[in-house]
Order: sequence, then structure tokens, then C-alpha cells
Amino acid sequence: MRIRCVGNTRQLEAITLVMVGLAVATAGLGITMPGDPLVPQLAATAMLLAWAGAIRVFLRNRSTREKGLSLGTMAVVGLMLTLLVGADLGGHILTSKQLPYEVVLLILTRDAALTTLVLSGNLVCLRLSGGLSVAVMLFSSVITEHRLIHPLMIGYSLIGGYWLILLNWSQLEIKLVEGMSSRPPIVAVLVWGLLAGLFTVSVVGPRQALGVLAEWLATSGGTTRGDEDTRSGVGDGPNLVKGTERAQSTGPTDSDVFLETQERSLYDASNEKWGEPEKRINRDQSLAVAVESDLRENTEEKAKQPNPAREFSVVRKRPRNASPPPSIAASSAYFLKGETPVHISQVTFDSFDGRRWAQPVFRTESLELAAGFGGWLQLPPSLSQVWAGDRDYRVIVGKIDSPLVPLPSYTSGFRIDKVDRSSFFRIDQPGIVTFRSDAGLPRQTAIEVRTRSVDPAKLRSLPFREGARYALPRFLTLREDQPPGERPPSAEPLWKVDPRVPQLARNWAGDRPRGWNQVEAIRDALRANYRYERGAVLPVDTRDAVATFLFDQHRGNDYAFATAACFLLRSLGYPCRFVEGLYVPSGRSDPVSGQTPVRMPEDLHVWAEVMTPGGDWVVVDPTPGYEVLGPRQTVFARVWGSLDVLTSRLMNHPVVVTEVALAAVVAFVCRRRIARTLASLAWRLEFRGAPRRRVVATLRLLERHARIAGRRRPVGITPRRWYPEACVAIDGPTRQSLDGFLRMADWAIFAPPELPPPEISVEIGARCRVFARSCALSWFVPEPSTKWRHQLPRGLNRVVALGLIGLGIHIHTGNSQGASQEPPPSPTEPRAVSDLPELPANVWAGPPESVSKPAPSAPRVASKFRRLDPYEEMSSVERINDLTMQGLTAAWFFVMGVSIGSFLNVVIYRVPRGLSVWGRRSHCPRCGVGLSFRENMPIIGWLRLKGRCATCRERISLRYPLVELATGLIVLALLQLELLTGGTSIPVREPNAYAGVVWVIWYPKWDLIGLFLYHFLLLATLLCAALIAWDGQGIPKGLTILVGLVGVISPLILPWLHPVPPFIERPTWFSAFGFGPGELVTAILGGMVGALAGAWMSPGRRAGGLATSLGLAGIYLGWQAATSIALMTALLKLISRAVFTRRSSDRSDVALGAVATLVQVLFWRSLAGHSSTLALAGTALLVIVVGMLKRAPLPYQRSEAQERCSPVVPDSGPQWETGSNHSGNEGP
Amino acid sequence: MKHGSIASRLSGWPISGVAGALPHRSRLHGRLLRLRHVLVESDHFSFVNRYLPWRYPLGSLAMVGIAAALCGWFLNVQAFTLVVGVAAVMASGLVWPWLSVHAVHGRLVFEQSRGVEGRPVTARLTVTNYLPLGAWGLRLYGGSEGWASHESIVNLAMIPGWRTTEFTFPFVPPARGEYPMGRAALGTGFPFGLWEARLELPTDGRLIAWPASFELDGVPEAAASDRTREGTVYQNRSGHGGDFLGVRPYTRGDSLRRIHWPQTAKHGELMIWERQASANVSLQIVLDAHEAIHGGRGPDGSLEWAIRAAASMAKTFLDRGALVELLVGDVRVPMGGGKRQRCQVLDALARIPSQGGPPLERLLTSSSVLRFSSGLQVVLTTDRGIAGVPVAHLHRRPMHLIIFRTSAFDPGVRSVTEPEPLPSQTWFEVAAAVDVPSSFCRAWREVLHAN
Repeated sequence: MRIRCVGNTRQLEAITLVMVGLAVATAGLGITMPGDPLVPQLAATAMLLAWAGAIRVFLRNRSTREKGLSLGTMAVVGLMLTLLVGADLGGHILTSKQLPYEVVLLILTRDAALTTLVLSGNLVCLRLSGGLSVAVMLFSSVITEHRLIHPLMIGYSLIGGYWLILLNWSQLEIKLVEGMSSRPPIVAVLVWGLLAGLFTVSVVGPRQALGVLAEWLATSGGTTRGDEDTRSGVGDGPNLVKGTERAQSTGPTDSDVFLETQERSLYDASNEKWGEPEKRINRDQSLAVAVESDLRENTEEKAKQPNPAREFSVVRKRPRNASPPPSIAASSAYFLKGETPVHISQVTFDSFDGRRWAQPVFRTESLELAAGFGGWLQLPPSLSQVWAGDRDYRVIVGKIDSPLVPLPSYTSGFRIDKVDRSSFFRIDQPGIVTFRSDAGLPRQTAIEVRTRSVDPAKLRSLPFREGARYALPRFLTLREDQPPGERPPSAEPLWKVDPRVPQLARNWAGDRPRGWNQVEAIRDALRANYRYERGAVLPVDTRDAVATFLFDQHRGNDYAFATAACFLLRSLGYPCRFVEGLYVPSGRSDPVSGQTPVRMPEDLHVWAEVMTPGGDWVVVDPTPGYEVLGPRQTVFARVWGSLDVLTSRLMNHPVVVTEVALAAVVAFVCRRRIARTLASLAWRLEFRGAPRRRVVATLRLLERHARIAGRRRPVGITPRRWYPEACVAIDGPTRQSLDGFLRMADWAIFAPPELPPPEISVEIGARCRVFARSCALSWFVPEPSTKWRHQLPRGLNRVVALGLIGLGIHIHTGNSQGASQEPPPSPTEPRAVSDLPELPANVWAGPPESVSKPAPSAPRVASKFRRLDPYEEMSSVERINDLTMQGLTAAWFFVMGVSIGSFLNVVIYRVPRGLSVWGRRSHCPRCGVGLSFRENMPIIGWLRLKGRCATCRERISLRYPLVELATGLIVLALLQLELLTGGTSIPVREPNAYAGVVWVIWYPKWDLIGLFLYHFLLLATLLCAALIAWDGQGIPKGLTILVGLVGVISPLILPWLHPVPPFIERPTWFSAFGFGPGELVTAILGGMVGALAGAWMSPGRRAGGLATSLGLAGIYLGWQAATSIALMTALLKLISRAVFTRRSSDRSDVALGAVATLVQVLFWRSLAGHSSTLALAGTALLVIVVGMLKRAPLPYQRSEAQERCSPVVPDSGPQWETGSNHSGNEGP
Repeated sequence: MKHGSIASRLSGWPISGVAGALPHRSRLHGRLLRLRHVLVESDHFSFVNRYLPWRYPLGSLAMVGIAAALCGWFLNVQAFTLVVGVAAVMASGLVWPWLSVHAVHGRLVFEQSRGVEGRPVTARLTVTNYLPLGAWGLRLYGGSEGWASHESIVNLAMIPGWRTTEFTFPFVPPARGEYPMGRAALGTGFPFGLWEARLELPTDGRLIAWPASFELDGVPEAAASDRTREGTVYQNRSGHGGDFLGVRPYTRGDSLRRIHWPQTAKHGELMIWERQASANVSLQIVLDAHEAIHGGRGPDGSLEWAIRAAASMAKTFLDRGALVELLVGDVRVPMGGGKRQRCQVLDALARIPSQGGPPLERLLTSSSVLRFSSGLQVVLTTDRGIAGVPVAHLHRRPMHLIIFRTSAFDPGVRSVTEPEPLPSQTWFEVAAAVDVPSSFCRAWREVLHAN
């Protein structure tokens, strides 16, 4: 009898393929969005599996032929695997804009399982693929709600069990005694398993067994254990709630907001086949609040008619002064964006009985909307020749339930995204369109409207013939025209217009020619001779409201004005109608968003409209104070108007103007210095590459200096000839240095390429650098500002004085900036406490969570951040879950931050020294012994070692754990202030209504997460830069360029990373998605502002550090924030100069900039954008003053030379090199 | 597998590691292979393995269960289905093996009492299953020490229910020693291999596996002893004394006293007397088994190779009728010859514990070493061992040192410095762990023909 020596894993591999295939198919179900067709996803899954199988077969064939895998085979397999993963992941990323976490995780795990399946010739990979398939199955089963999931899970369980048996058996097989069956006893397992199951069921009882199983399974509703519905009832589970199976169940789906709301969606409203969403009626509550009503008969005529759309009484009660709503945004009926004032017609009336207007009983002509290009619906075209140009409006539906489509006057067409069929709408009366659904448009529906504008000059030249020729008689009638048979016998006699009215009209019209001039005359006369009073009402017992207003009372509200205008115009033969609607006044728009809230009933208004011979109704608003929008202005008029506005603004803000002027004067005085700074910056950018190029760059710097000093080199004279003569103010070693440099410059410019340089090429760069640093404007002219500098206050007095100036400017700036954040107060309405700016433009296409609710105020968001429901309404289980999740998330983020901090330590130590970051494992620099895994753990490792090397007892600097801790704390602060609050710390961008761990991280809000990562990258880089600068090293260029490039390129792809646009009015070319050139402007402007401020504040040898860090901050945060950071840095510098010595103050420049940036990022909304002119002027002044405190280093000063010669030794003790945690193994 | 590896160990040494498998390979290729090795084959965190239960099947399944339970709790109750499934698998994976093993009784018998490592001997396992249910997937343990050892001797597909079954199978001792090591046990993890239940087996008789040995060419002249004994095999030996054998031409180094002048005159060139004497051959093997001085562990360590070398020398000498004495640790096998002596020497070598043994200095100062007067005295030790011995002890007797370089056997040590110089008594050294038998034989041949 012998023992087998080899096992057969082929069957095991096949079963693994099947198992992974099942898991991959389930993952495909999970990835498929509800409603998407299943077949393509399954086909894609099958292709993935087939491809993986093909790679496996290829690999097996090759490995049997080759002794060890050849390079070609490895390359081919690597390529095929890359194709596999790339196609899977890339396909999903390309086809879907926003992939949730779980889907990304699922795709990655699935690809990992497929990859290990391909490599399953290795037993480790084979086992790993099995384990990964379990993970895929688990995640898929959690996120999938498909009916196929249960069969797939059962199949996977069976196959998985078999796989485990085979895996065990394959190890057993190797030493199996020959002659015994080498097949695993599957039948025996099945039989005995079934028998055991039956036995258990028979002992426990079938009912109990089923009951236990049912307890574990989801039944109806709810997805978490905390839900009541999870454990009761029978139904189709979460599908009923989500509406993924049957659309009737609920309306909006797949939106975390609409999961919790009962509001209708636009789709509900636009599909007549669907019913209303079910609403849960809380009967208990209804009963509890039912109280006995004590309604009494109201003898006065009700303002609100039973059928308000049919009748409009001119005689009414005095309007009550309603208490102002808590928030304008919350109570507004519509939000309108576009030029104001605007009249929005709602109802028109044509017949009047002396007291009230009425609509005709019969319908008007049947007019149809025409479907235009791109979803636009066109109203019937006009034949009049009175139009001047088009205007575009955008109306967003607010809190109103009305079927009316809010269209401004003279609308030519409108568009509602995705509702592009004309049959959804109906033209009630000319210019008035209603939505066919009774409840009207849902909230947040955005309507794009295109209107025409009327040119009064064209109107005046229009021939108005007698009205009856082109208009229906009912628009001309001057009496109640109800047929006598329809009137009740008890009714009062018919009303007829007072004969004095036509007379008055004729008097007012005078001798003007018939036409629009007469209409204007009537309007102007009404405005001039009658007084508008909002509260003025006509007497209750009046029979003829028109006569009472015109001849008795002489004052009235807009009802009276409009009615009188109608009858005055009708008496002259102009067809006229009475229109009720909304009037959107000018000057009330939100300065940031440009939207004007339209409120009900405050903005209700009535006016008259006159029909032109072309059949168009033109607004005539006789009420004083109510304007009609004129035609579009010409370019010249607009320029003139803006100049006018500018002048008035300047006159109104003398302080600001003075400060700007002061800043401009200072800038002018320091213009040479500014120009010199710019030239140095340009030199820094150019100074790279071959020695010849470096010499030329330095020569260019010299030329720029000469140009600034007014000693420009004439054309035709070589530098060698010009500069020794031009530099009149130098001698001694400086002149020698110049001569030496000019020799090099001669070589760089004129020498043929093969001629070697006069110096050793390594030294050329260093010599150029020294020359550039010593190069000064004073070479060409005597020092211009010496006298002025001597007049500056000296010593501590100077510091205190400048500090006070800075503080004053900062306080002033903060006040003015705070005021500019607030919207301008309206004279009639108190503003809301914080009215958040600008609803997103693409309301329905944008992220749902930010638009489906009206913008909440920031404090409210801050108070309810982290949870959806108020804390008191949460059950104890939910509360525990919530707290656990918060704690775990914070802990996880802290650990990640600390680990990144450990990596930053490596970067800080190794990168300036030119060492590889990845190369070597962390080790003690003295004894060279590598750190163990435990010793290398951030913070804990240091504490365990008690600050000394375990081998040689060398002291380890405390800085390492401190940097790690600081990084962890930065991450935590960003998490708490920026991420979990839904972005309340970020200005301009509207904070998410739903915040907290669940709604930001679990249902990932990629824009917020992107901002978090973006800002963390900036802060981490600045931390590195600060510590590198503190050690006396230069900030590595590679690091700066890399981080800067990330900062510039990322917002081009993801524009939301720059929430603050470069201009307050966000230009239209700022796209919400995709490539946006505006982001480039933000980055470049910000970078320039930051770099300039930094370079100015820290001149001399170390200018690069602060300029780099502030430039990076500007790139990441925009120029407004850069000014704010520059201001804070300047203040901090003043303080540090007062407290510390000059040398340490020099080294701490970058650290101060980093601290300022941290404060700015964390409290961005409060400090947001010093973008007002005052703030800018103050900042510029302070920055310039701080920069002036430093003297430019004189060439070849002793200290300078010493610093160059002696390397700077860091103070922080011996450098203990720590490595990142993942470097547990030795590097290659 | 063990069989194969021992055979290969004795015949030719396979080149281990990935990098050395193919000679002509580009740097990129080598790097890729190393990357594969790092990614797939290396255990980077072996030091934390004991804290990671999920590295083992039961633990990993438990982790899956916990993850599913968390998902079910927080995300979707559907995940509880998976918890139920995992729990069922875990329960059956624990209960089934326990039942299978506890219903089985058995006995293990070795049919021979002596064997050689790597060479099969017949073993018989008699098992009775008291359950109607068969017991599948059994493993027989006892091939290495420790109850929790993972390497099984042999596997059995099935023991039928309600009957007694006898299995006869070749047992290949994986290393020298006394079998079963520790206690023999029968274990099974069937069906899923999540956890293995084990049952101790009583054993009849023990098997002593001698160390493997290799053939040496002959016996060196230095082993000739002046003391002759009746009854032993003589060996012809040319030299200065004894009977006259003949003459031969003079070679450099011959003593002038031995010039045969008449023949010189006759031939016209210098001729030399050639004599021969019968001599007795005796060998004393001093094996340094001190734990600290040896490099490497297990069957490829220098201790095991020293033991195999000692066994080979002893066998070679005893086969040629010589007398052999063994001194290892505290054990001394007195001088003797014949089959009985061979048994005793190899048993003693097989039983040397892998740890322990006095230091070489004590061995060299023991009375048996000091008293050994004529014959070949061979000390098998390592460079580390010899470093700890005072030079005076080495010079006290004309001993022959066979030295194993520990750095060659210790895979953890990569010595880049020059090796330490060895004492003058060094006979030869084994400086490479690759193909030890042939290098030993080669060195042996060299010293054999040195004179």
C-alpha cells in the first residue's frame, strides 16, 4: 500500500470559478440601479467572468510549458488583468457620475476576487479568492433588493459549502493511502446534513423552526434592526417603501430626502396615470387637537370669495397687517431671477358690475402651446411690431399650491426640464398658462422663461383704431352685460358707468392723437391726481366703485386705480381688461444669488392691460409707485448708468474711497519694490535647467532691475559694456561679483555650445543664486527710500503702533465684511437672520439633498447637524447607534490622521535631504536599527519607548508624536467643522440640509468629501512646509509643484472644490460640472495674491517659504481667502516679532502662514473672503507695512555669508527618522 | 513529500528560492518575480499571526459572521441570512469532527523496530468505528513532536461505520528519532476543515529512525592503530616499519636512511626500501551537539548534518572491520566493532536530542578523549564551537577536526565578512549547505589520498 504524493486542485479551481461567478453576478445585481435593465449588467458580468477564465486558462497553459513564468507571460497576464479591472471600474465610473461608496467598494472587491481567481494556481490566492467572494456576497446582499438575490444566496451557500469541503479534501488528498476513494463524500454530507436538519425540525417542531427562520428575515418595510416594521407584517419589504418595484407605492425614489417626505415629485405631477402618494394620517393627533369651533356669521363682505378665480371684488376690507414670516426663503411663493420689476398675470377679468369684476362664463379661443426645440413650449406668436428684445427669467416654485405657471408678462416661451409635452399645460386666457394637475407644480420646480420687452416708442407709433374693429366687445363694454334672464328677480338693477367718466377721459386725453399717447396720458393723469394708499378702501355701501374713487374719494388702493383706468380707457375705445397677479418690484433681489423672492399675498397686485391692434395685451399700471419694465437698454445707456452708479457709490462711501486711495498711494510709492518682488518671483520660476539657462535667467533679473531703476540697457550694447557703467553705486566685492557674473553671461549668450563654461558647472548655479540675492535696485541709483525708512518708528513703539493699526483695520474689516455677508435690509420687511444665498441653478439636475428643501439657515443646520431627526424623537436604539457611529467615525478619522502624520514626519525629514520617502524602513539614525511594528506605531510607539531608542537609548525628539497628534487633530477638526456639519463652515456653498455621519459619509456627499480631502491636503502640506522651514531647510520644489498642480487641476475637474467664485456674481461660464475655466481663474488669482503677499511680507533669503505656502493657500481657497490669510499672517507676524527674537521669527514665518490657513479653513464662513474694497485696502496696507519692517539683505554682509557657509542645524535634537506604518516590511 | 525531500537531500540539492531558479533572467524579470514573491508568498506580518484569529479557517468564518451581523444590524436585515448560514456551517464544522473522532478507537503498530530517516517502514493502524456514520477525512499524527503539530503521517479517506478496519501503510520517518514522537493521534476536520478534533492512539512498539548516511570511499591511513589485536581484519599499509615489500624509485621527501644502495648501484638511480606492516584501525568520533554552536534548525541544520556525517563515518569504518567509539553529549558508546556496535552507535545518534549537550571543551577534556592513544580521533564541530575552545586543548592531542561553517547553514545570517581562520588541526571543513553529502565525500576523498 502506498501513499499518494500529489493532490488534484483542478476541480477545486472550477468550483472556485463557479463560486466567484455567483458572487460577481450578485454584485452585478447590487450595482444595477433600480429601474435599469438587468440584461446588460448580467451580460457584462458574464463577460468579466469569461475574460477572467480566459486569463486563467492562458496562465495555466503557459505555466505548464515554462519552468518559471517568463517575462512575456507576466507582462501579458498583467496587461489582461489591468484590462479586466480597468474595464470594470472605468466603465462604471464613466457611465455613472456619482458612485456611492458601497458600489465602489463592491466593484473593487469584485475585481480583487476576480484577480485572485485568475492567480488561483497558487493556493494562497485560491483561498483568498474564496474569502473575497464571501465579502462580495455579503456586501451585495446588503445593498441589493432584487428577487433573484435569494436564489443566488442559496446557490452560493451550497457551492460555498462544497468549496470548503473540497479545500479541506485537497489537503487531505496529498497523503491519502492509495486505494481509498479520493473523492470527497458529498452524497454522504448531503444525506447526513438533511437527516440532521429533519431531526432538529422534528424535535423543535416545524412551526417553531419556521418561526425562528422568519424572525431572521426581513418582512415588510424597514431595513435596519431598529425599525418597527422590520419585524412585523408580510409584504414585499423595503421595495414597498422605496417604490422600486411598483411606481404606485410612492413617488420620488432614490433620494434620501424624499425617502422621508410626503411631498409630490414633478414626475407625479406630470403623469396623469399615477395617483397621489399615500399619506399617513395621524388620526390620534387629529382627534386630540379637535376643538369646538365658534365661527360666527360675518356680516362684512368676505375678502376671499368662494370662487376666487371667477370674481374679484373691488370693495374689500382693510388688509390686516400680518406678522412677518420667520424666513423669507421659507414663505416665498416663487423665486425669480432676472430683470425686475415684473408683472406676473394670474387671472384676468373683463366684466364689471360696479363692485366686482367677473370672468366670462365661456372659455376663450382654444389656444394651444407649441412644442419648440429643446423642450421649450411656445406660446402663440404675436403679430404686433412693438417688441424690443428678449429677456430671460428663471422662476423657481416655492411654497405655493397653484396650478398656475408663473409667467411674466409678454412671455414668448417657457421650459420645465423633463416636462416637455404641451399637453401637460393649458392656456386659460391669453398669456396665462396653467398646469393640468390640480395641485399644481411641486416645489423647487424651475421654469425657464423667455419674454419679450415692449418698446414704448413703437407703441406710440402704432395706429390704434376703434377698439371694436379688432377686439371682442366684452373688453370694451362700459356696463354690466349680464342677460336679464339669468339674473335673479331680487337682484339690484344693472350697473352702467357714470357718464362723467368718459368726459374725464376725454379731458385727460386732450388733443393727443389717438393711440398709445392717449393711454399714457390717462395713466399719468391717474398717477398724478390720485393718491395711492395701500389701506384705503372704498365704502362698503358703494354701488359704483369707479365713480366713488374718481369723483369722491380721490384716493384708493390698486384695485381702484386699475378699475378706473380700465373704464377710462374703455370709454375712449381702447379694449382693456383688469388683471390680477403678482408684482415683483426691483431692488429687492438677493445680492449674492440674484434671486428675488415673490411672496403671497404681499406681492399680489392688480393692473390694467390694453390690447394692441396685433392682439397683444400690454400692461398699463396706473398705480403710483408701480413701474413697468421698459425695453432693454443699449450698450451706451448701460455704460452711462454704471458710471452713474459708480459715482454715487464712491460718494456714499468716503471712508472706503480714502482707504483705497491710501493703499493706491502706498502701492505707488512702493512700486519699485513691488516690481522688484515680481522680478524675483519670475527669476525663481525661470531659474532651472542647464547652467547656461540659469545664467541667462539671472541676467534677465539684472536687466529687469535695471529697467525698474530706469537704466534700461540700450539696444546694441552688450551687457558686458553696459552694466559696469550703469551700476554706479557699487564698488569693492560687489563690483567684482558683477564682473564675474558678466563674464559668465558672456559665455552663456555668445559662446558656442561646445565651449566649456569659465567656471565649474556645479558652481555656476550657486554663484548665480548668490549674485541674484545680492542684486539690488540700489546698484543703479542711490538708495531712494533710505530717508523715508529712517522716519519710520523704531523698536517696540513701532511694533505696538503697527499692531494697533493692523488691529484697527482688522476690526473694521471684520465689521464691514460681516455687513457685506448680510443681505441689504429691505425697508418694508425685516430680513431673515441668515438668508443663505443662491439656490443652485440646476435645481432638478443637481444633487438632490441640497435642493429638495428650501435653504435652511446656518444656525439651524449647525444645531441639527449629525442627525436627521431631533435627538428627542429618536428611539434609544437609534440614539445608541448614532452615538456609536459618531464615535467610531471620529476614532477612525483620528487614527487615519495620526498615521498620515507619521508619514508627514518621514516627508519632513527625508524630502529636504533628498532621501527616498519609500525606500527604507524607519530606523534610528544613530544605531541604524530598524523600528519594529510596535515601535513604529504613531504616538503609542514613542510613548512605549519613553522617548528613547530601544537599542542605543538615543533621545527621540518630542516633535514626532506632536506632529502626529497635530495631524490627527487637524483631521478631527475638519471632520467636525466641515464634513459632519454638512459644510456650514464653507461660504457661498449652501450647506447640506441633511448632515451627520450617516448623511454625509454613509450616503457619501462626494462634493463635501472632496472638499475635506482637498483642504486636508493643503493643511498637511503646509504643516510639512512649516516644519521643514523651521529646520532651516528650503521647501522642496517637487512637493510644492505637486501639491500646487493638484490644487489647480482638481477644481478643473470638480468645480465644487472652489465654492467661492472669483467674482460675487457667479459668471455664467462657471459650469457646475466638467471643465470650468473659471476655476483656473480662481486658482491663478488666488495663487498670485497669496504668493505676492507672502513674498512681500518675508523678503530676503527666506522669501520662498511664506510665498510658497500662502500661494498654495490661495490656489486652494481663492483670492478672497488669500487676502484674509495674508492679513492674519501679518498680524501674527507682528505679534511674533514683538515676542520672539528676529531669528526665530524668520524661521516661524511659514508656520504662522500655516496657522492662519488652518484658522481660515476651519472658520471660513465667518472669515469669508476679505473681498470688499475696504478689506482689500486694509489688508494690502498691513501686508505692505509688515513687509517694510524687513530690510532687504545687503550684499555680502557678514551674517549672510556666515549663514551660507555654515549649514543650519535644527534645534529639535537628533533626527529620529520615522516611517509610515505600512512599511512593516523592508523595502526592495 | 518528505520522502522526496529527503531523497533529494541525499542525492542532489535543489536550489531553493525564486531568484535562483532560472539562470538567464533580466533584472526586470527578477524584480517582478520578487514582487510576486513579496505579494503572494511572503508572510509579512508573521509576528502578529497569533493575534489574528481570522488567519485560520474558523476565525475567518467567525469574522465573516461578525461582519454580516454588523451589516444586518446597521444596514439591512437581509445580512442576517448570511449570519444564519455562517453559523450553521460553523456549528456543523465543530460538531461533526467531534462526533466522528469520539466514536473511534484505534491502535498503531510499527512492524519494524529500526528504520532510516526518509525510508519507509510498514505501519499498521487498526481502527474501530462505533457509529453507524462513517468517519471521513482522518489524519494520523505522530511524525513530529508536539500535540499541535500540523504535519500528518498519513491521511485516511474514510473509516466505515460500525466495524473495525485495518490499514497497512508505509510510514516514512521524516527525521531521525524515536517514533511515534510524542503521542500518536488521529484527527479529523471533516467536512469543512474549520477545526480539527483529535484522539490519542495507543501504540505497540516503537520505531527508531537512524540518521541517513552516505557512502564514504575508504578509511584513511591515519586511522591505523599501533595496537594490534588478534581476530581483526588487517589492512596493508606501506611505511617505515614492518615486513620488507620491495623497492621503488626515490621521490622527494624520502628518508636517506631508507635508500637501498645495492639496487641504486644496479639501476643507476636512487632506490628506496618499501616496507609494509599490518595495523588495526580504530576511530573515535567526538560529536559536538551543543545547541548554541550549531547553525540552522530542523533537518537542514548543521547539527543534523554533523550527525549524518558521524553516522556515515561509523558505518563505513564498521563495515571495514574497524573499531569505533562514539562520544556525543553525555553519551559514550565504548570502542567496539561488528553489527551490535553499529546498532548501538546509530541508536545513540538517532536519540541525540535537538537541544542540549555539553560544550566541546568539556568533551575534549574528558578521560575517554584524553586516553585515546592510537587511531583516528575525529571531532565534528562548527566554527562557533571551535572558537570557544582554548588552543591548549586542541594541541594536547593529534586530533582531526571536521568543521561545519554555521553561517552556511543559518539562513538568517548573511555573512559578508571574511570567515574566521580555522586551527591547524582542521582536517577539512564543510563550508556550504548546498549538497552536503557530495562536498563531504569530496573532502573525505582528498584527505584519504593526501599521503
